[in-house]
Amino acid sequence: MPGFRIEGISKDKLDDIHHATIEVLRNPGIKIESEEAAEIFHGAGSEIEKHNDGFIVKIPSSVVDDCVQLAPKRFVLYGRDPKYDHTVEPGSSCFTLFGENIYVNDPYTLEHRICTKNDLGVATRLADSLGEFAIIEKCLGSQDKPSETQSMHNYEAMVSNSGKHVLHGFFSGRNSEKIIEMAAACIGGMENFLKRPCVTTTVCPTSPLTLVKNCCDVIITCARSGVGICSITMPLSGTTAPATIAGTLIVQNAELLGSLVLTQLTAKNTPFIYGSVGTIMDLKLGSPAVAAPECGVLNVGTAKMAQYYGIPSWCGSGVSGSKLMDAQAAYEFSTNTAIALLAGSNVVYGCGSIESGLTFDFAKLVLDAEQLKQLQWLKNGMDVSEETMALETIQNVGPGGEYLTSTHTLQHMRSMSQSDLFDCMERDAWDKKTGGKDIVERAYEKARFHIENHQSMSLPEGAAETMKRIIKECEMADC
Amino acid sequence: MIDKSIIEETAEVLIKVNKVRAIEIVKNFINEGGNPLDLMEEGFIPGINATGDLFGRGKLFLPELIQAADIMKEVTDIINEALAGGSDIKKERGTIVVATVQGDVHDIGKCIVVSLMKANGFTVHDLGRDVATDKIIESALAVNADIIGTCALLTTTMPRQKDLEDALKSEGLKDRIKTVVGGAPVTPRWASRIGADGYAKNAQDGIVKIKEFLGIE
Ligand code: B12
Repeated sequence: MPGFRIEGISKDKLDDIHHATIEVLRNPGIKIESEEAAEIFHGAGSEIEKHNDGFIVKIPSSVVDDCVQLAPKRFVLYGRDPKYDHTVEPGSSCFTLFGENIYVNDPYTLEHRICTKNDLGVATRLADSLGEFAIIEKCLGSQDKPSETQSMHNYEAMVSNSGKHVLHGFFSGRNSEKIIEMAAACIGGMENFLKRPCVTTTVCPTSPLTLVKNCCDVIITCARSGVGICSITMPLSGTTAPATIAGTLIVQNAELLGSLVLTQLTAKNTPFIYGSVGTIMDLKLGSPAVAAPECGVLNVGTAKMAQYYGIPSWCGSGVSGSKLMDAQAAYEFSTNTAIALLAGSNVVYGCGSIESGLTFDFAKLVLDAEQLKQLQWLKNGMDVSEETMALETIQNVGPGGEYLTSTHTLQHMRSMSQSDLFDCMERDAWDKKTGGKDIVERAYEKARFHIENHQSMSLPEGAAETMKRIIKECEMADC
Repeated sequence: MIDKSIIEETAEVLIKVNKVRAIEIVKNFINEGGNPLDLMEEGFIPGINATGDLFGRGKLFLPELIQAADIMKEVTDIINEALAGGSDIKKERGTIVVATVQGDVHDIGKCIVVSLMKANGFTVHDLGRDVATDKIIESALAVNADIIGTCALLTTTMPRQKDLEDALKSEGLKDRIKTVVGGAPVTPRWASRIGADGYAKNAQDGIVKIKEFLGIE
């Protein structure tokens, strides 16, 4: 079924964006704050020049073209459990959580507080239980753990509570090595891990036009170890990118192509995801307008540029500026998520988050999942075939008849959309079922039920101990 | 007493970001024998305060505020030059060193804060992002700073703000240099826990704290 899609931008306009980006990569080039990365670019024919604390790299268009060709169009995001394997390919889409929030609304007391490693585990278990999430993303940080090893603790909390593929910022080259070791322990050893890498790293270019050292180090370490890279840039129009969306698209494209080139030059055919959570800066408030319509429009640009290059895209969309799981949060999530999905974004990110990405809310995650079900249905669109046109049935039922008892209805009723929490019952039934409670309250109840009852895939024997040992060694050695 | 129409116009050129006219006003005023310090005190300083206030109330855009700050800087330079060796206006308002802490590359908020400080006539040394604690202290001493402002956007880099407090304490500099901390995850509680002198929830609030430290109205 072809499904509904937003075309959005014509081929010749995409050509214009591409050519302008190539110009930018030549002049002024991008700044690379890692000597090793600069050497990799240089070795492949890019001009490099020392610049303060880094290098200016000018990437010729032929190198960009070659590397775009090397990036795979299709790959599998492996789960620890093969039933969760998710194939990323043209036309496919999946959803994931926003990360990383630093506060949580406690699922029991609803208190707004700093989050802990335990909260990340619990939230991951909830996401594991919700079928709408094909992959897991770190939605909270282990704020009760030391800064240096926090990303390792985060991985431990996630992998212990889900059998799905994990998307996670490794943060530094050292942490990348350690997290890969931990992941291997969770999937039966390094040999198995190389066949089924069950984790992908996220990295962030720094707008405008910079790849900082940690970003380069993580790309290089992961590409060499067979781990995929999801590069996510966050241009804020009017501050770190031009005030116009087309200009912002060019800046982010240069940053993403820069990281793509580094990835492919380090190791050919490494899975690479082209991502953005850009939006505008509200220039009156001086804060990022995370759910502005411009974010939706930029997401269409992100998805279309990725399709132009034939690589998978990742769009940040569902975060709300609201401080509560309220009407604003619902409207903002729905609008921009729908647009990203219909534009063909392969990974749609941003579920569960309010307060511009600072607070994770359990009810929000549950309600986002509920809405994703509807949105996915919308995206699937209308199937027009002999079977769905039902001509014969229409003729058989005739004027004034009913379709309730026709075989055609029996055959198709199960594929009609259904909702769990969203309600269209008549009032008495609704009152009886819900006690008149607001949907947010019912979403917390559902969240608590899943947290208490969902069994996520257990770890292989010894994996928990291995992870603890790796983290402990790092903390002792202060490495 | 300066002519009321001149005072009104100085505020207007700042709000409307008309740099050419601002420079003209100052030059004419000096040429006509006026005391440039009066023009500063009665015209430009209330003008930039009004500009900051309008921004605070959502009536002006950030780029307008930044440009107004730039005009202020230019005007201050011209006036300082005219005073030639007399009292230098800038120094009276205080010197601030600002940095995003080590390990952290988030600098948008810090840049806004720096602009607003400049707009308010402070001498600001922006050390950039990912700056080591020693380097911050070294620079603060080198420019004889009154205040150090740090920005941290990651919970994992917030401890660097504590390191700064500890270092200032152990080097006996706490009573000489005041500190203010900011960044999205930073809270007043964190500020008091680490012993920072102030917390700023946004740039405007930062100015309020700085003025408090320096005993300015
Ligand atoms: C843009 C952005 C980036 C950009 C930064 C570009 C740049 N040049 O700054 C990039 C893409 C590089 C980036 C990278 C990362 N980011 Co980031 N980023 C953001 C984002 C979306 C906006 C920050 C921003 O600019 N805000 C706008 C400014 C104006 O606000 P502000 O900084 O708070 O400043 C105001 C006040 O706080 C105050 N203030 C601030 N500093 C000071 C200082 C003084 C002296 C005073 C007086 C006042 C003051 O005044 C300012 C103006 O009003 C935030 C989300 C958010 N909601 O904050 C995440 C966020 C900060 N990032 C986050 C993360 C996780 C990361 C990465 C680790 C991602 C990764 N997986 O690799 C990396 C880390 C890189 C590093 N080592 O620093 C998390 C932090 C979570 C945590 N645990 O702390 C956040 C909260 C997003 C999220 N929820 O996931 N990020």
